Amino acid sequence: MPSTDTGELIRAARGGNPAAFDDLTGRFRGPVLAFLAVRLADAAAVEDLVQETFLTAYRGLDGFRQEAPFLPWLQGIALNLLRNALRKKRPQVVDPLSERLEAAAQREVEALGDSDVVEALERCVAGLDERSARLVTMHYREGRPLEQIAGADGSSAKAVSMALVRIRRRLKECIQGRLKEVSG
Amino acid sequence: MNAERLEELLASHGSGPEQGELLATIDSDPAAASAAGWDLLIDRLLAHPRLRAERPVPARPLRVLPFVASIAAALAISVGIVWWIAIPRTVVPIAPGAGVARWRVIFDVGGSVRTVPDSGGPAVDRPDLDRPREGVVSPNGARVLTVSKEDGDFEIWVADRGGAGRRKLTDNDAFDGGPTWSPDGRRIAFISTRGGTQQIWVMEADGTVARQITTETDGAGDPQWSPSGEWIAYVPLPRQIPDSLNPPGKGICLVRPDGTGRRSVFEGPMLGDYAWDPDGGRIATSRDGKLWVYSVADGRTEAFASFATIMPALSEGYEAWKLHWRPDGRAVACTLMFLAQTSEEFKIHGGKQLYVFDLSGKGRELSFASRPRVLGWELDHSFVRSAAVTYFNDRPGPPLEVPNADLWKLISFFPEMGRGRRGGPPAGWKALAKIRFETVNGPITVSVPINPIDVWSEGNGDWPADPALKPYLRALVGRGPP
Repeated sequence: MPSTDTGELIRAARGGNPAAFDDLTGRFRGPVLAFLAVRLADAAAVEDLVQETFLTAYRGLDGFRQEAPFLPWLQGIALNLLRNALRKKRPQVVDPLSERLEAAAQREVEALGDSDVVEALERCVAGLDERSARLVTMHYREGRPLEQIAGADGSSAKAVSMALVRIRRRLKECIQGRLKEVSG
Repeated sequence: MNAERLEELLASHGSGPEQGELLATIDSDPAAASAAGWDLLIDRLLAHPRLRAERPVPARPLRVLPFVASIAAALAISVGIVWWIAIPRTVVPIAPGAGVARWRVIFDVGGSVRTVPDSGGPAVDRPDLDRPREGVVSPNGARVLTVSKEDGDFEIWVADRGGAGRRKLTDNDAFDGGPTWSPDGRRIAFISTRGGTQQIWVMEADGTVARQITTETDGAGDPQWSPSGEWIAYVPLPRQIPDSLNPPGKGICLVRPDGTGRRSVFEGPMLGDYAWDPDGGRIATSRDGKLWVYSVADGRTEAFASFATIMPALSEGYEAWKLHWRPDGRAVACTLMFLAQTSEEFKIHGGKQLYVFDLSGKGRELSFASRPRVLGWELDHSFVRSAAVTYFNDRPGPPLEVPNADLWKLISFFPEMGRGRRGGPPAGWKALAKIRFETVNGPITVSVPINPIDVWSEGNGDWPADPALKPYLRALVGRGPP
């Protein structure tokens, strides 16, 4: 069963109140994004699919059974869209390690349920120390190669790569702490 | 496996001989698999554009208006896009410019505001232009409407621009939302379910005298007040949305603010966005891969541009969103949304582009690194040689033109304005200014909806506060893009 609040929003959205659907989107965007991100590496494609998921959900809201849980319904739509998108791509060589890593990540996302991991991550990124924030910016926002980041950082590419892994671990701990606070 | 070794393996990206070790570890050690899963999850999320934008994290969760709310053809919350631009205190002569481009599209991409010539060319960062604010800003910029359900259900709130004096304008158990200001800032159109179905209502700006102005069988949404103030456009809602391929909306209707004069235009499903032109005489929308325009004066509807001019594949499944008329009324800028179930082509065309279509039918595609959002237009000041402003009103005689764009000289020409100072603007003033720019490439006439109250109330040698005028005032005083 969806929470009472979610159920009310669904009812309001089905009644034609787009603001209620906007609220639902705000609430479930993070979980849907995480669900897709661990299945597809192309961030831009993931963003497209997130938008399409909510678009399809909005247009099919009348087909949603009120008593059913909302997030799995959204995830079902997302999965269908993802399959459609992948079906159109050329066959790719399966990389067993990536496959295994994605499966591990998918288990973690499943365990998170409808917790908003994206919002928690945003907050945790905002709390990073100066060097970590700089490395994250150079690597993820500016898309610089590790060698170039190493030059700017005064270290080696290997050290930068290692630092990024540690930053991600610290972010994970921060996210888990935040989500525990929220659920507690 | 100890944590440090796992980190080394992850840092190596599982390449070379370490790939086998990482694979074996994930298969045999649940804790290591969990850590590796988290590492991938965070890596993917950090690479996502939403996080890449590096926006400041708000103290409270930020409500993001998704475009899916727009498809309901009922922009209910947080769609006020108004620019707050530093207004110079002194009028300076307009410097002659040189070049080709005249108009620039203002857009938001990756969290920063940029502009690009509508004829193509490099985009420039514009940190001097603020990002859109949450809420619907009044025409004079002094007040902001928001919709919140902090008291249990959705109500419309108003506050001063700085947040002071916040209070509820509606207070009942029904849904109230989607507010839009009248051009003179005196009334508010909104959607409400207080009468049973969702309909369009109009109330005074202080929340009093609310009255229902539509009686659509299945409800109505997305009200947009015409710049002239004479009409409110809205979208009648469909009976139901039985499946994802049955689009919402039943066209667009017009009704006068007092509820009379209902007329239906663009009958049929509404998939795209719609927008009034700056004069308030036309409405543009998209359907079946084309852009259409409806003329209020003669009731004619005609297609003026086809997405297929960009690429034949764009003719099916794409609709225009974030439609913005160029202020001279001769072109529109928009993004395209792909509304079918598959989206491979959308990734090639539509996802990271904005489009400009002339009324003559010519279309241009401008591509960016990530998805742009069209916010409006501005005139490139460096191409302006001089300007003259005409305020249209109902006074007898020809409209008055003031050379050199000195708006305050203009205001002093109107004795009615002096009387207005004591009791408000005189009756019959229309909220429309026309600015004629002489540019290096010839004349351009721009219609700008304005609020006569502002012109009246701030007449102390300062510029009018009307935010709609500000991009043009920038051009007039030579403080345009770098």
